[in-house]
Amino acid sequence: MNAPGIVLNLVAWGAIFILARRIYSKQDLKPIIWKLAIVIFVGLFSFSINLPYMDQQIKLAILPLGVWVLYGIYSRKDEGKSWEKYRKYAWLGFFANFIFLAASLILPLVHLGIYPDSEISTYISDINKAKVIKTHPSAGSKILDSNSLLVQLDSIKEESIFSEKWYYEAFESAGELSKAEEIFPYQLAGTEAKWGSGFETMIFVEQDGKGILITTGQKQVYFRAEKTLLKKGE
Amino acid sequence: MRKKVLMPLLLISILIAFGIFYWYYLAPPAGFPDKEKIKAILSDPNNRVDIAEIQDTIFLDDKHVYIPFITEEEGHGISFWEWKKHEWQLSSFSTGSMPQIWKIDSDDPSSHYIMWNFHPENNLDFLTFFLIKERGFSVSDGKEKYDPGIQMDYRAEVGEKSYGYTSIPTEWQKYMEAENKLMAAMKPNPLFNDFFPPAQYYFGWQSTSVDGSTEFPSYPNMNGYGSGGSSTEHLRFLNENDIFIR
Repeated sequence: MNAPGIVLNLVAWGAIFILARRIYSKQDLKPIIWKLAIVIFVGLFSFSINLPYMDQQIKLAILPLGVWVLYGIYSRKDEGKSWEKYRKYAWLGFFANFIFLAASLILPLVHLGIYPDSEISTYISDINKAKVIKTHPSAGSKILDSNSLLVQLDSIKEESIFSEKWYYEAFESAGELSKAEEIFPYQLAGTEAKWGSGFETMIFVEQDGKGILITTGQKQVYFRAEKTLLKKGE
Repeated sequence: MRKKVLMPLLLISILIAFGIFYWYYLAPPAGFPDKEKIKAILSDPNNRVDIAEIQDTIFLDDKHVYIPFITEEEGHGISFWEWKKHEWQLSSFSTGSMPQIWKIDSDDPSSHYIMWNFHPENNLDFLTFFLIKERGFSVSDGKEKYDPGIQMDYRAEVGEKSYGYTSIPTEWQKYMEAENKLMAAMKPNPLFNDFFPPAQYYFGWQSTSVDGSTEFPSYPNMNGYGSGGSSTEHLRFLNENDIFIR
């Protein structure tokens, strides 16, 4: 669950509601309320383009398709009086695209403020059910040292990912892809990311027990601890 | 006057709709058909499997049944049956000796089963099943991503019977759950690799005969065939070259 996203979405709808009320109170010929709501929804439809922004896509509305459809329907009714009643709501619907655009521009900043992407506690906050799983035969018979993880959680630092180097190093020493030792042969399963961050994480632990590679739906981050997070299993 | 007629009519149609819904989706399963009926369905013109023997009827749960069988040509096959729309339906079958995985609920790995059936002439000692994902990496827009290689194995003894089944080990389930959730989270913005869909894990198998050989168990040498939906998947046969051996 992405809590900041939900809150911003509610704020955006709240703003649309307030704007609709202001239009309504200034009108002499009052439209029917349920129709007005539908007109706003239809007005939202637009031709839009997607642009990349801070690891996500944002939607920039260009053509007001919904407004055109509504105009086609209403302009012929009642010699245009009907269109007069609903026109502003149709455009409000189109304008709402930009309210949502503003929300999606602010969201990553707010999210980053609450859930810093360079702190490991954002991705690993609850470790009560944490467990290390061997995901590759090159792993030793180690288990998770929960204490070590708990003690170091605040001091583990982010480092750069060397994906290409990791891939080819293992490959070159073995000569064959399937025979290469895996640098990250353990999965850290059963952890929870910080509440409300909405992160689904896949976490791998490095062979020496000190490196942690975290993949979310948006990006990948790599952390190094001072001391190993694994201990000898029984 | 019209309203007096309308209300009861509406009520009756709602009741009928509920009744139909209950009948098709909620009603408890009827008794499973007997072996003759099963044989008849498998050998009907749509499926054309010449059954010599129905070996067993295994209830995986009360709505899903696994039936291993032997054909007239000594082929050892497997079939999956499902209680659906108030009827026991054949959802998938295969006569080709290849182990299959049945994902009863695709979102829940604990409902996945691996099944097999091999001719006893192959003298199999045990089977090894694998969960595999190829190692990978990508660099785009200065963003790096490394995908660790996955290889988890599970050994299943063959035993006296030619057929068998196993659920997925809990460690596989944990990995699959995390991976499935991550894939779902990636969907709205197909992450770093804009051109290629992300690699998916797959299931593989190997067999070891009593004399230690890991050759493909090829007896009887015949082409298998089968049919089935998206919830079943053949496991890939793996050579020694395909896997990491410590």
